[in-house]
Amino acid sequence: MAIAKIAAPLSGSRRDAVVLATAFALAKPSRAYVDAVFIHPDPREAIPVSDLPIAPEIVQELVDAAEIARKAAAKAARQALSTAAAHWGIKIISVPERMETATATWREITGHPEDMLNDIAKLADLVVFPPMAADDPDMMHRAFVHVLTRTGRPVVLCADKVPAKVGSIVGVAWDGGATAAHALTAAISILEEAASVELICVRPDSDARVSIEEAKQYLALHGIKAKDTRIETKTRKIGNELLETARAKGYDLLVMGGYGHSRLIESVFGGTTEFLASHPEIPILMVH
Amino acid sequence: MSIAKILVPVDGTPRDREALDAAIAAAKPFCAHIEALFAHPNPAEQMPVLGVPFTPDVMGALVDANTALFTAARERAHAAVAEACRVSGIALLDKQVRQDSKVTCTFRAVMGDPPKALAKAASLTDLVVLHPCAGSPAAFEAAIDVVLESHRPLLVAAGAVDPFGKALIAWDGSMAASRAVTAALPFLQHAGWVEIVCVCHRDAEMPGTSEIADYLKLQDVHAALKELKVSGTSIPDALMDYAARSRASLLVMGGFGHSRVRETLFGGVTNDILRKATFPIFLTH
Repeated sequence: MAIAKIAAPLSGSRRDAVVLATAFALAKPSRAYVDAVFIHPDPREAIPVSDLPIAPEIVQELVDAAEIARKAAAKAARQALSTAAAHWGIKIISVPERMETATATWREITGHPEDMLNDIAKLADLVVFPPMAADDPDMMHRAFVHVLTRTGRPVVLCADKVPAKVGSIVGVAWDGGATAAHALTAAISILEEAASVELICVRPDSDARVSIEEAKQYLALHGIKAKDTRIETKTRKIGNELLETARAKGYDLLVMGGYGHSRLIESVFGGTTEFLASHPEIPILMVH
Repeated sequence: MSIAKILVPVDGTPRDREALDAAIAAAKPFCAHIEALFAHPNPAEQMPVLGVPFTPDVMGALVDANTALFTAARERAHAAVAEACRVSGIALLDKQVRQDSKVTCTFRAVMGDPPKALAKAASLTDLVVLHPCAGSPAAFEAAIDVVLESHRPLLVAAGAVDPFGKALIAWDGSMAASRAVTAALPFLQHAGWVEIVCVCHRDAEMPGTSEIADYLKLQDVHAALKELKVSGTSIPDALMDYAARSRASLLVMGGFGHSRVRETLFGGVTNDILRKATFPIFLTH
């Protein structure tokens, strides 16, 4: 059984193209449906909170300006959906319906991204998250951490460019820990469709409890013949080594487990600043 | 997610057969592989604490006694697995091998702390089947926690497993219930009848069901809807009562995120539900 539903949050920015391409690439093999959701904050929240009373006309102007901005962003997002759907051969439908190709629906919801993400992640098999930049507001980072840790759904953090394909040549970071195992089982639907799956054995943690052999056996039961490779890190951070390996081997998706409890994630993303500053070159599937 | 591997702990007690039969019934629609796992503690570490050091002779005798107990239990467990396989016409293999067209089984005995052994084995499996009376209530609850913490789905075999029977989904619109639904999808697709059941207090609002109904329809699962308003009974009791009366073969429900939260907020509710059930329950984190 394959992926059924992918959540693709949109904001009206140029990142929407990357989010949609990533979602469509993952949706195609199993004819999944992509729930493209334009999330925008309530225009009334554009009113700044202040001790000084604000004249009603000013309030109205602020709300109107926010509404104009919202309409423009919605239009841009909708356009991004049409363009991407045409390019990927995805049919846009108004009511979710099983079809012969992958499909997408468009909807708009109002509210804080953090709150809305719960809604969109609810019945999704995975959530595609836009690539992040160093100068993004904290809210973006918080939203990412939230969707990863609170919804229990796998999240694909997009690369900073539109991918040609995703999930065809997959690398799975493996340190033998519980979170790596969790990521493997969570990614199984994607791995089943991949042309190639490689387990990247990272110097195991002291609490490594699942061997790479056991991982390969589990994958074999799912009809997946996985390769394995090893990376040794002495001075360089594991995260850098992983990305280097991904580059060299041409992976179009990297699978990693955990957040906060995983040395792998910690070393790739470090603290908040490092995390925001990192530009993943390939999409990364993460599960908490 | 497809179901290719099912884990069933066995312990050498008569319950093993029921647990195995449940695992076999669950495996059939998917031609899955079943791993029957027997775990026993290290005989040298199971010493009674008396506050007095033992002499080497006494220690030796205790270790021997423990070893004999564990060996006997392991042999009983292995016999139960062999018999269950024989009766169902399933191959009991020496090692896990993928066979597309039929169910296969392996028996594995490990030495180690049983909850830890279960956690490790559960981390790379698609479903864990547990017998509701396995061990003491505390041991059962510990086993559930272990499985849910490994984020793997759990099938509590509280009655005969019939993958083609009637499946009920306990729906309250929560993230937990949603995760149960997506994880249970392979079973929902095989079920002969699927019903979304919402139970709430008389004065409360029913959760929305259009999202889940749409989601299921997309997966070729056509589900009926049952809304139950209750007053005077608890929601879990009303749910279990309805499921029993409607002869459900499976109840799909979201578990609770954290066992401590569960204990605090719900006391023995989950345990009550699970131990009183007369039909299988599919549970996720």
